[in-house]
Amino acid sequence: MKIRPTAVIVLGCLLVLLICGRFLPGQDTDFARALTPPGDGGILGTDHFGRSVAVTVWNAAGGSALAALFTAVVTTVIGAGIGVVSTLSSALSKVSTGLLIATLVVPSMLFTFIVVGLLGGGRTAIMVTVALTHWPLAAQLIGPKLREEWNSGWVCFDRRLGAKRAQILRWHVLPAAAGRVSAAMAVIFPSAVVHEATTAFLGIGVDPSAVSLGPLIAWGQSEMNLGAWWTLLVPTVALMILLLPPTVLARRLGERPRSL
Amino acid sequence: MILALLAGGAGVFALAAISPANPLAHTVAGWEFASAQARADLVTAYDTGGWFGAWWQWMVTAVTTGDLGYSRILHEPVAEVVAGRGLNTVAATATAVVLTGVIVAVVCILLARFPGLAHNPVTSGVIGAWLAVPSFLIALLIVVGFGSQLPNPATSAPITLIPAVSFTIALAWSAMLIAAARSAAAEVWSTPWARALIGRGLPSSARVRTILPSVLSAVRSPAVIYLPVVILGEAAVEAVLSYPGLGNALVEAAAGADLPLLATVTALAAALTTGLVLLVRSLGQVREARLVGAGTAATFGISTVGVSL
Repeated sequence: MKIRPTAVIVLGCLLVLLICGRFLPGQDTDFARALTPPGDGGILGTDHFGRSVAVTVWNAAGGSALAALFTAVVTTVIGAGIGVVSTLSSALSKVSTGLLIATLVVPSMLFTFIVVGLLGGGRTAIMVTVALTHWPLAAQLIGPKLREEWNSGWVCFDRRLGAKRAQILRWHVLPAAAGRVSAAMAVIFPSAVVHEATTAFLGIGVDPSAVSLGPLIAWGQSEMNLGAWWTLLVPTVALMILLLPPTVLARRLGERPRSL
Repeated sequence: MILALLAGGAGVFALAAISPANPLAHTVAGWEFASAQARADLVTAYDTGGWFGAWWQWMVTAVTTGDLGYSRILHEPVAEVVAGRGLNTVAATATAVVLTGVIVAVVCILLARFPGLAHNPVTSGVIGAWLAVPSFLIALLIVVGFGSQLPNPATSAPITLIPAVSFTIALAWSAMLIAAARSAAAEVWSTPWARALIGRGLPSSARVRTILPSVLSAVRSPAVIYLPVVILGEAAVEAVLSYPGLGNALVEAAAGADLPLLATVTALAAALTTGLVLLVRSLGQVREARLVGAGTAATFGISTVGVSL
């Protein structure tokens, strides 16, 4: 399936817009306006502190998006690096395969619960565990492509002509794997968002006062009993806005990686 | 060398365990019941104050006495937590497996019956959207939408909560499997051989009989691979629906840093995942050999092992 450039541009703009929310100034509490419905209490109503739900959710979504983007980049770089190392040396390939198998033994969400529950550390710890558990995915996506290019006819020809490994990587191998790198990032980004939201929703190792979509959804669930449906609906929709485009993009990239 | 080391270590533990003095058990296993002074003396004597010491002590205790430790969050021995709540989780998972099987089977038959369905962008979009919804959000939607009709977890038997839990897990799990089935169906329907089935005007039942095995074989490996994720990774679903299963206990243990319970559940998850991956790989090799022998694998170009290590 072909990816339209306009879709990628719209997705990029959406991401930048969301991330901008991370840098919004803090809001003052105003208990007189607590749980005011949309309309009287601003465009999307207010929460139990009297703060605008729209601004709070935008801030939380921006934080999640920024952290997930950073994690996706770092994890993909780690996976690609291990893929490169595996391509260059068969001994290191065996080591990386062993590491990969070891990482796959425990489900990633379970691993996140355990590490964050025992060590704390909030969002940073969640993102570190996502990087630790998701690099095999990036390595699996990128590694075979790197090996395929490394063993291709023109690379062998270049090697015989005396090209160095670094030059071959820069000229042939890494550009050829660019599509797979995009696919890996598109897969890891929503996964990082889900890990952060789920862990924070369950209140494992996360500061309850931290602005994150997970706690906002948890608070919204309890405030549903008071009739404040908007406190649950708005963060839930924001989470879906954050997850839906990259998930669809990842599926399309996965179906036709060569279309990029 | 590693095997020799492990065998040597096991031998030492075995000797200690069968010794009339049972030194390991007497030294460490009484920790839960020792006085504060006795604990302080032991920590000083064996330098077991750090995390490694705590882990080692737990492991030795489990090895020598069969005790998995005591969950300070749930206020009962870990072995009882695993036995009791594990049974609830197994019951919910078994129901979820049946539900998922029914949902995926129906979709696979539809994909094998209607060639256009697999290539339809709407199908791909719907599956993409379905995949994007986290499982805890599905559970939350069920609680919000049907909260008044759900049984009260505090007063009801766990069995009454199984339908809600298993339905949520089935919805989350079947999305992945249906995505795999759709990709396989799209690939199969793209082959000239499969298109010839339509061109020759074969009846739909013949199409289903021919295409369905390939679609199902693409689903089988992810289904088994994701089983441990479903059993233990869907802890959030159990927590949201307040189901007294192992996943819910895991969430409580993680929130309260309950090391014995966390360590046990992690060991169980690792054993389950490793066993299932080995099973898939061995089954996949058998299946691959059979397909290659029949000459159909080359026709469809489909790997029967979805996840390769």
